[in-house]
Amino acid sequence: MIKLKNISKSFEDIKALDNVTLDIEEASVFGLIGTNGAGKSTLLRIMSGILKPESGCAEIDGKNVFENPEIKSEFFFIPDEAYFFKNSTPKTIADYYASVYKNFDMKKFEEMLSVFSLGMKRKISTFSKGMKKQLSVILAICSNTKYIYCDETFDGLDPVMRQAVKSLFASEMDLRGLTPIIASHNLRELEDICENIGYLHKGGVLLSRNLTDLKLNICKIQIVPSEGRDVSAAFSSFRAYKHETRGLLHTLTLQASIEEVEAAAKASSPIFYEILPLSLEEIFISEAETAGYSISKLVS
Amino acid sequence: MKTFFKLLKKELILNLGFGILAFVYIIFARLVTYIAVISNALYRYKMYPNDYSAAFIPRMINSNMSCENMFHIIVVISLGGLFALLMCRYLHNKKTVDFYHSLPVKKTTVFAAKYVTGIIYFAAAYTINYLFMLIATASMGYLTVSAAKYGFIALINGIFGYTMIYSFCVLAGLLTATVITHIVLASIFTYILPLVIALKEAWFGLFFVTYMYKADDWIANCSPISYFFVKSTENRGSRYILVFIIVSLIVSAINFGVCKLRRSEATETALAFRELIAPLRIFFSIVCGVCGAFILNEMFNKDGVSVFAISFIILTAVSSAVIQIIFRFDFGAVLKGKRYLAASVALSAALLLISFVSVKNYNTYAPKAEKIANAAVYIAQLANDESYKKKADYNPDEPAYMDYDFNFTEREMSEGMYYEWVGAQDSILDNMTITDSDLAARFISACAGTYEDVMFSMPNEENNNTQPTAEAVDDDFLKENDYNKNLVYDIVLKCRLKSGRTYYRSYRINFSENYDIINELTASEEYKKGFYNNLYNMDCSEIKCIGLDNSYNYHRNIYYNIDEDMTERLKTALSEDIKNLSLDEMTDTSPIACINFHTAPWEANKYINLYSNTAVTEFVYPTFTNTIKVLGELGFKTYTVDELAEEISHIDTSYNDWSGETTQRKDMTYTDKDKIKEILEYTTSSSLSRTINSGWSDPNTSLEIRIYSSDAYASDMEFFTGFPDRTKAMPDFLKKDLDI
Repeated sequence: MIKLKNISKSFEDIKALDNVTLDIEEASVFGLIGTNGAGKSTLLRIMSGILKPESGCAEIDGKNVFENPEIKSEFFFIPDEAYFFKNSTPKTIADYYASVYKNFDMKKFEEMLSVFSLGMKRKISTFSKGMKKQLSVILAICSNTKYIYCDETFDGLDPVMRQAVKSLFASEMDLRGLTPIIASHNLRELEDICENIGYLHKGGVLLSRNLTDLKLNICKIQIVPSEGRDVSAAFSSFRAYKHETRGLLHTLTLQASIEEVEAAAKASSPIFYEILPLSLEEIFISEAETAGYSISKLVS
Repeated sequence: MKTFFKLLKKELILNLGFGILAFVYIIFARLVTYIAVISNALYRYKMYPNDYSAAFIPRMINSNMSCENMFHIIVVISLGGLFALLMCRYLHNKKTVDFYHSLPVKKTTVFAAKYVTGIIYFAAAYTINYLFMLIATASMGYLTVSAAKYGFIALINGIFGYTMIYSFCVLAGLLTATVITHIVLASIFTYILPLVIALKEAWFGLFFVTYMYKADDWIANCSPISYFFVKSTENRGSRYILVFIIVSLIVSAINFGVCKLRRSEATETALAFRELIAPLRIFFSIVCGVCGAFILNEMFNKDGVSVFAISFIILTAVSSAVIQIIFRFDFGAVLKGKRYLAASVALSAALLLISFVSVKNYNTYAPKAEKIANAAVYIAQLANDESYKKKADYNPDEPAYMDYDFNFTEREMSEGMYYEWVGAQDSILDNMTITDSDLAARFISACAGTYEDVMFSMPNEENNNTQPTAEAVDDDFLKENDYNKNLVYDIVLKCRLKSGRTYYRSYRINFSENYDIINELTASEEYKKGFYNNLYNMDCSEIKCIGLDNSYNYHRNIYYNIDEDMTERLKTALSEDIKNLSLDEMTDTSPIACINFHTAPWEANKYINLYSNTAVTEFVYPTFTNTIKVLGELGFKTYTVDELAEEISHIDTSYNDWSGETTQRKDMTYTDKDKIKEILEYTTSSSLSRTINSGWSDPNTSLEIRIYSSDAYASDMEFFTGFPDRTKAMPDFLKKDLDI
């Protein structure tokens, strides 16, 4: 289990992380989402032992990560821009990783390369951005570590490849209990794969919850009230993230369960109502707006 | 440990390309040049057997195998910096830092693997090069134990010298976070950086206008590390190896410590440690301020404390802002960090204030007699420039050869092998002690008092000085009256005060105006003792031969093999004669000869240039009756001009005049003895004249005088050159013949 306790990190005058506390369970996909400059990459780099926090610590199974090779062998970090040696081939890189990751599976690596049609002896400098990301993922999986940290890994992958990678992760999770931690803006993709999410905003943790539980607590409803009825009053007992009106049609995003919202809707005897499914993106936006990060303010 | 070796192996493979390039570089710089030099030497040995001894080739090989080979120094210093740059670059890039520091390996292990890689590549390449050099030498048939030994010492010297320089450059890489600042800091640590020299000169120019270091100290203070390494290659490189090892170990340990402390996020900024920014910025801004003030001073040719002070402070402030931009690559940062700007200016002002007392009165400072313990004075125009000291590695059986000029004979190449030239300035300042504090005080006062006048005697509108000065116009073209009136002497003074402080000053004083004090000083026994310290300290048991060069001004090099007893007598005679040598004689009389005391017999001259065996050189003046008497016992004759003229077969003159549209040339030849005599009386040998009486007054014309001697002492040259003496009138026939 990964425990992040009261982690703070500043870069000169910029406070990148402020007292971040998170627990990441094993054998589940953890999505690290957040606004621009929230501190996702910084957090991942602290978890990877690259950066030392000013306060707090990152622990895996109760042991501090920083400058601890034994613990660092438990994870593989895929940065948003991976580094490959000049004029190297996948074979060269794999050999290098094999020398530092005891459990690196070279045979599996060769098989996966051929599945993804990446040449073993082809120069990496000739790879596209997407191909390099694929290679990074393959290297991570073949290192047979307990955790994989992915920083914006899905960006640059085509939809087919994204699905393939997700399948890979799913398969590895089943096989050996791999725990991927994925930082991304691509919430639609995370929605399919993540079980738990941590939501960072301006260096702090806004929420950290199971995705299903999160969805359970937010509900979106479209309603056409009957004449003379006040929609706001009908749902006044719930916290409203959003309320849009188009003519007679009201769309509300509420912090409540579906049952609660439906009961309140029925009680107001509307002409029409419908409970709509919420995407992770909509949840993210709602939570962000609550925290003061408003898209409308950015574009106005 | 296992991981370290695994990573080391990976690094050696990954960086193999650089290793191969370094190897090729070493091969070209050392092996190829070595083969070229030895091959050329072999060729010359075969072609000109009379010019080379049997020991020539072995000596050349020993020298070129050893650290004396200048490419050894170049290779070590250049590769030390280059490999450090390569091995540290991973720390300066975010991607590479993320890669390496996320691995399940300690960052010091990663660093260690790269660090050792840089050392292994050089060691391996240099060792292979050494083996190739041995093979090449063996194929030429000249491989000896001696050659292998010197080559091996060079190998060890090179490896550890490289490690030392490399470790300093790596330290620079650890303290910085971009390639540019790495190079700058590495240069500061290790190499002679123009900025350091500019700082020195600017500082001296600004605050110590008349300050001068002892010559040897100058280079050492500019770049101690590379100077130290260059010095270590003397004595064939065996000295200091232990020092290299110890320093390398210490700096390497520091490097590992710094690596551990270094933050991973320190990439793509100027410095890795924020704490260094402020002091470095202040330091550099002061450096730039000093350099800038110096440059401004030079550009506007102004003096005075106020100009320096104002320009210094302004430039410090500007420099501080510029450095802020450079450090942060952020033009908007000019207004940030005002406290550093303020600190820079405040510190500069403080330094200025501290130095103010000195600056205000620096040029005219003259201590009172009661404050002076002793003094030493070096007068450049009167100095005996030919002073030497025996090299520390002097070995008469194994002289050193350091030569890459393909055209010299062994004899010509050997100059300077045994003895090294010591600047007369340092020699005199170290050995002269004038305890007559009253005399010293008056001399210093005279120098300090005339400083401003001499410095500003350049012709300009402000001082209405329209007369050319010795500084303004080439000395050679001044007519006698102008010359005497404007002749300035360059003085370097070393004064030790009773307080324990020693200070140096350099001055320029007008000779005519200060004749009396110069005369009094140069006549004093203490002055002469210091001035002739080489002679008084000469070890007579070492002297085997004397050479009388330029006898009677015409390159008559006469040699006599002598023993210790004769040397003692000559030394005593010279010492006696020197006591009566006056300033007038030194300045107005041409010496009879230049006497060199050699530590090898004349026969060695066949293969070895006797100048390389010179221990002491002194001038012999016409009034040196004691010396001339002793020389007479050896067979040295004093000649009258009539006798000299008999020895001359003819004199050629060439007069060139380019004042018109085309150059006019007039050549004449004289065989008439009376005319030859008149020309001899008119000319002098500038190389023996202390006051450079030789000179030509007209910059639009020139007169060449070639004297052809037929006597037994004539040198190998076809003719001797005579120089018109500006104190003498040109013979009328010459004027007429040349249409002057």
